[in-house]
Amino acid sequence: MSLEVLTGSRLARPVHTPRAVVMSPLLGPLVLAAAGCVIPPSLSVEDGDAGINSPPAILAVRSDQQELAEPGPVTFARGSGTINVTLIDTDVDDTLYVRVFVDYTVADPTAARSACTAPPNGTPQRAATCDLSALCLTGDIGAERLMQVQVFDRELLESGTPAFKAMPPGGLTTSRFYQLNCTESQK
Amino acid sequence: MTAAGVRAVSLVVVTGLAGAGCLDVPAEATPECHITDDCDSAHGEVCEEGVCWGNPPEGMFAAVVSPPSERKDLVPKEITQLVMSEAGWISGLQLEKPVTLSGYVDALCGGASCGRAIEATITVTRASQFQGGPGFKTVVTTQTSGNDGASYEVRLPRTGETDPAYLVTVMPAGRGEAPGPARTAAQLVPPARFELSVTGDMTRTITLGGDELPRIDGTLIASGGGGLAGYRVVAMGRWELGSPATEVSTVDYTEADGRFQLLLAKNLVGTVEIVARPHDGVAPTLRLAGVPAAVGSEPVLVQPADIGVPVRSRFEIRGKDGAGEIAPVRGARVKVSATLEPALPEGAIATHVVEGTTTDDGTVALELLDGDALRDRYRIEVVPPASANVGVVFDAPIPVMAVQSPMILPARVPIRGTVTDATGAPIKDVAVTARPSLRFTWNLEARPQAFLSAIPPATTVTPASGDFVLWVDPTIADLWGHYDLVFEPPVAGKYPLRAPTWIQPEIEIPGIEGPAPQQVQLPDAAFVHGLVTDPAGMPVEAAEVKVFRVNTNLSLCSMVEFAPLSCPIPAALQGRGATDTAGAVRVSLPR
Repeated sequence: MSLEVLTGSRLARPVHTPRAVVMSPLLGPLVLAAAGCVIPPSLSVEDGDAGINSPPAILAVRSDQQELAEPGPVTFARGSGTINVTLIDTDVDDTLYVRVFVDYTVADPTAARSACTAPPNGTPQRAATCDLSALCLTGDIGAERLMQVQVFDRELLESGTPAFKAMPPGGLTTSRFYQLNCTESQK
Repeated sequence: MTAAGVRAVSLVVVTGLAGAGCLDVPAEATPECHITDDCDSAHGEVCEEGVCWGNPPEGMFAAVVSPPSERKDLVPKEITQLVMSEAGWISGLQLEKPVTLSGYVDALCGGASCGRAIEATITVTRASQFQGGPGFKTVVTTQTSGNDGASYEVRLPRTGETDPAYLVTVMPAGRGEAPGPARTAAQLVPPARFELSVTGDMTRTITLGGDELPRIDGTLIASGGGGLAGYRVVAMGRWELGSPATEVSTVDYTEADGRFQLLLAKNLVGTVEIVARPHDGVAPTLRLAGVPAAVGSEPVLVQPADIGVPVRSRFEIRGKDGAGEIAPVRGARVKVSATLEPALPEGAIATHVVEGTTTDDGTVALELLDGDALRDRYRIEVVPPASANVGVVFDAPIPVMAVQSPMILPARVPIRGTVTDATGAPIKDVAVTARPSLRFTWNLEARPQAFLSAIPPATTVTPASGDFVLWVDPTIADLWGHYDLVFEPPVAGKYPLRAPTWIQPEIEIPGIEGPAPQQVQLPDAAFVHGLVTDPAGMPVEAAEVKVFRVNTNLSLCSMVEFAPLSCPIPAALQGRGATDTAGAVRVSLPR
């Protein structure tokens, strides 16, 4: 229940009378405290998916310079840089977990080189900034790599398959892929 | 009821509900104003859309405005002096049309262009026009179709009268670790770099190669005599002093006679280093530094004797888990290397480097060479996954054996704290990241500095209490750590939070117990907004505006031992925002 509803949005008016809430601002909390927790019904139209999980999607991946278009190529220097990932998920209460993988394959799975989290903000759209200082390693300099920016709508499990990407049942994920060129950091 | 009345009642209701422990109050705030009198109008704030805009912080600010990637008709723009009014309006957010640099990439044969299509990657960069700014960088690959050759097209911001020229780097394609079925562009011609001002649309054929280029005719010799086959050979060098070394020659792959031939790029500075890496089998990489870059030479790289044969060595990485039990560490990156310096100054350095990632049982198998020349020189580096509570191992000696003793990773130390807003209220859903500070990083020598940069920064998100715990490595190469904490409040919903992005610098790790809990109070936020438009004045959706504080204090450069020559202290990002469908962008700045 959002504060906006309590203060009289057009959506809530036919359901609750704002006056009833507004007139008893001090009594309400006391009653609730005495009676234990009351979980109010959600009045948000965005929660009306009857429990069916919707997949997250990546709207944009932006480097320090500009938006990155698939399939690249994109260039990052070892030891620096960030990406800002704009995401959308109609499950507005889902926390979204972003991981950046390099040359990940099922046969040779490797842990994420970067991780960041986009907490819910009450709207479908949210963003996260991932630090890329560990994206490029010394062995990647001059080599052609594949960078995968992947978003998960469940927290990743400590083990399971696919390795480093396993989620609880029902979790959904989306990726973007880029040809990655790594350069040495400034000397 | 008046706006102020609604606000007061709402606050009482929500405080009561939250106090009763019954409601998780959403992060989204109520309108903070209905009329300008609700804001700090004495300092210029005005109320619009339920938000008090204006009263931006003092100081010099710059900005970068970037179009969405699908708007090929627009290019990023740097604003070196951002103008923000007292009422919080950012002006000048008009994107510009690109100028186009296009043409073909081909090769020079016998003094003339021979029309051969050269597939290549073209990187165009320009330094930022404000101190520490991100600058401009774009990368394109050539397109080959039929007999038309390898064409390219790059869209760039127009070079203005006071703008520096672009640096164009052309890297021929086909630089794989092993040879392919046909000779690639990278085997035919070396890379090239040149400066270019692009004041209008222009066509330029980039011709690579040439008979006058310095040529290296070298040989790889096996320790027992005879040529070394199965190596990829290339020269590393630079076009500017102080810039990072990159591949600056053609690529060659040795066969049974061990011979290789490299063409060097033009206009290199200093000397180059020849790097010969095995692509077929387990063997050391050979490196020969100090090779002339301006004239041809005939170097010989000799593989050291007694390198032995490959031994598959199993490493088991363990550490304390969250319950305090010793458990396998999965996803740890394990790198084992041995370096053999040459007996003679002009000899080649031999390094054997292998790496892998631990599986669910915390193990990884790597192939080491067991000869006397290398067996006592192996060192191990272990980097656990991001945000693990076990720490790294750097430069620890290890023996050569089939099954290594289990390695117990050291514990990381916690940086604990609470983040509150300017009123002292805890903030939920703030992303907190611990980054090694520049002072820490630049006080490390090159190897540990490179190792530190390979450690994924610890990150977490605050619960409703605003508490956070980040696990960091207390030391690297015997130097106690210093970390910057980056606080990034959630992207605003309908109404922005009065909490800006913030960096708490230089949290010192004083010992293995970690620092005292940090009480971090974010400064108040100033809200500024603007309209991003195209050259015709039409709003641009999904453009991004990044606002930086221009930092002219470079004193850190003289206070650290191993700063890069260019001492690139980045400008501090103060806030960022993306435009909505109407082209409006909203940014929070710390006051």
